Amino acid sequence: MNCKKIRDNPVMMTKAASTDSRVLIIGFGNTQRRDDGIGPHVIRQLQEAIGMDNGVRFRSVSQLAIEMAEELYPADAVIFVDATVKVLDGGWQCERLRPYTAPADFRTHHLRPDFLLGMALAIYQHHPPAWLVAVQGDDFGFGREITPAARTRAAGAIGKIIETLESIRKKE
Amino acid sequence: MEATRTITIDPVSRIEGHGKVAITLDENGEVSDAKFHVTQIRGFEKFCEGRPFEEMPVITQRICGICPVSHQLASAKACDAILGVKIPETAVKLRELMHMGQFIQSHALHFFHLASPDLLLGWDADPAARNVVGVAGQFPELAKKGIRLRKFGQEIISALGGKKIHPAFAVPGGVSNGLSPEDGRKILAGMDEARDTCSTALEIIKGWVESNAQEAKQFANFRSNYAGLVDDQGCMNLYDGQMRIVDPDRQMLVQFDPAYYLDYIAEHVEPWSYLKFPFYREKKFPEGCYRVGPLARLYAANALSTPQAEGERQAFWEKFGGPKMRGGSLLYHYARMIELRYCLEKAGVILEGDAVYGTDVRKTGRPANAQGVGVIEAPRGTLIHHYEVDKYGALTNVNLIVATGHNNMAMNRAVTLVARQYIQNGDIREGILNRIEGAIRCYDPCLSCSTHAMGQMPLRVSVYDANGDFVHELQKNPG
Repeated sequence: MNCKKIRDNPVMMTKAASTDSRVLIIGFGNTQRRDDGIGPHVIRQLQEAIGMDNGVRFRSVSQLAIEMAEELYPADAVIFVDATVKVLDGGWQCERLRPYTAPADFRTHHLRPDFLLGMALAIYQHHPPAWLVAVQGDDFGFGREITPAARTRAAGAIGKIIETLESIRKKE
Repeated sequence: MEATRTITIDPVSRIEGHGKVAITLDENGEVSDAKFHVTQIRGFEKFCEGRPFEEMPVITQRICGICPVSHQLASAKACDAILGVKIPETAVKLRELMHMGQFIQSHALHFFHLASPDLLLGWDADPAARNVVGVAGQFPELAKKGIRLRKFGQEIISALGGKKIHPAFAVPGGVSNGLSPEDGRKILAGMDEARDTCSTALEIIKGWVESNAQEAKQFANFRSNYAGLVDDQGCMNLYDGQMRIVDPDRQMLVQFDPAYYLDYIAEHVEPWSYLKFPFYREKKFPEGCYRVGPLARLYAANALSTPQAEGERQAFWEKFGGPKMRGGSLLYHYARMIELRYCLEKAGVILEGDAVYGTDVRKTGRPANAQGVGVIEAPRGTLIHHYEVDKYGALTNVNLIVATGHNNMAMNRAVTLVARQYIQNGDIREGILNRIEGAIRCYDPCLSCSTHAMGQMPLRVSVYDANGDFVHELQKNPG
């Protein structure tokens, strides 16, 4: 688990001390394909847990879009939350993202979060530090309910994100 | 003597969805055949059977994340026909406005993000840089403009449908909600910037075609029929009207009420693709095949109904409408930007009128007809939704013909022509493969829509000998 790096990141912590500090958390996935909706599910849970005015901005979308590169640029840090079909130790993981700058396979139906970082870097010569929180899903069939196992895994990820955000706030 | 070889490009990149190209070389290494295979299958037509017809605008928009609005509108029109209602004027204006938002975002996406690497960086640029990030790195201000233009189109959709992708808006009999004057003013506030970006895009494509006139003339240029919707004045109509098919010299072959499309259009099936081949019945297959989409719409219509776009159309026709030039596939990029100009003007006209702000937005009723056909022009071309229902309104038959299907034969012709032009003596280079992909990209195909798929696939070029034995493979990894 590398989310602690968010609070240890000097760029972010400098900006976090300012009044307009913003961590952008983007949950993405199809809420009508069960566990594919883990990202939006995590966003709902986070909004309930920490409210709307804590230096955190939430976005819940069905898929990433290229124009979101414009939203990344002014953020102090970005956390993407997505479902994965991979089997993960502990059911979820957090990884630091690096800009993906050679998308020969660019397709608008499926954008990678690191591609958005690459676009932000290319256009603005800057990208915020960013992480991808991936939560293992089991059932990607039709339906709106997240499976209990995926909810449990998501709860672990949510807890760590909240803990990280709180530690940032305490340091401000 | 060398054996016959087959080259496979799989998947084709910077298009919507997954397809592959197989090129067969003869004993001398010359192209003997080329096919564009659509490898997805989704089955919407089949699994929708039994569902209540009024669910279709919601279900069918899930066919695609790029053009959900197009499917929703065509579907709602088919449902209107089953209800037998004429929807209120305000609902028509609101649907048209959302339709313009869809065109703006889709055309901006294609031009700035899918086509621009070829146009601005060149066919033979380093593949590692010949992509949208490479364009953004070299032309950051242009990239910002492209992103903001697409955002503008998406915000029109969001203002009406509550979200940018898969909005819930068009319903049988009208739309679900109105538009406040305040929200209309917010959209209009972004119009000047959108128009400026459109002007920039038009200058880029005009300059490119003029600077590369020989390539624009030769590249995937072939004679074909063209089809599109026109209004009662013969002007291009993206939301409604009659379907017109013209021959390669723009002489009208037929014009008909699209509700009776089956009397005029049939679909041919080939075993090597999940995508069918629509054709004009009277001319039979394959002579009856036609092209749709931006260039076809310009050719099928007499004129455009908005002044600036009509000026652009006339300028285009004067320079590039000659018989030797007009079949060039690369002209689709130019025509797409003329349509972008039209859509911005049209959206402005709708928003500056009163009718779009009315409150009468829906007619309700019970099924009055056993079937309904909804036809619109989607960004990629003519889109047909045809539903049949039982006495309870449950669907018994669904037929969807999408733009990429109409253009199926055209894309195959384009691929064959480019392959013959650029592959000689069996010489295969990456830039050549990109030209073949580029020929398909002109038509902005959406394979997710057309097959009604999943997975990540690398670009693969496979070579086989005359016996079908594997000889060689090149691969472009997804990263």
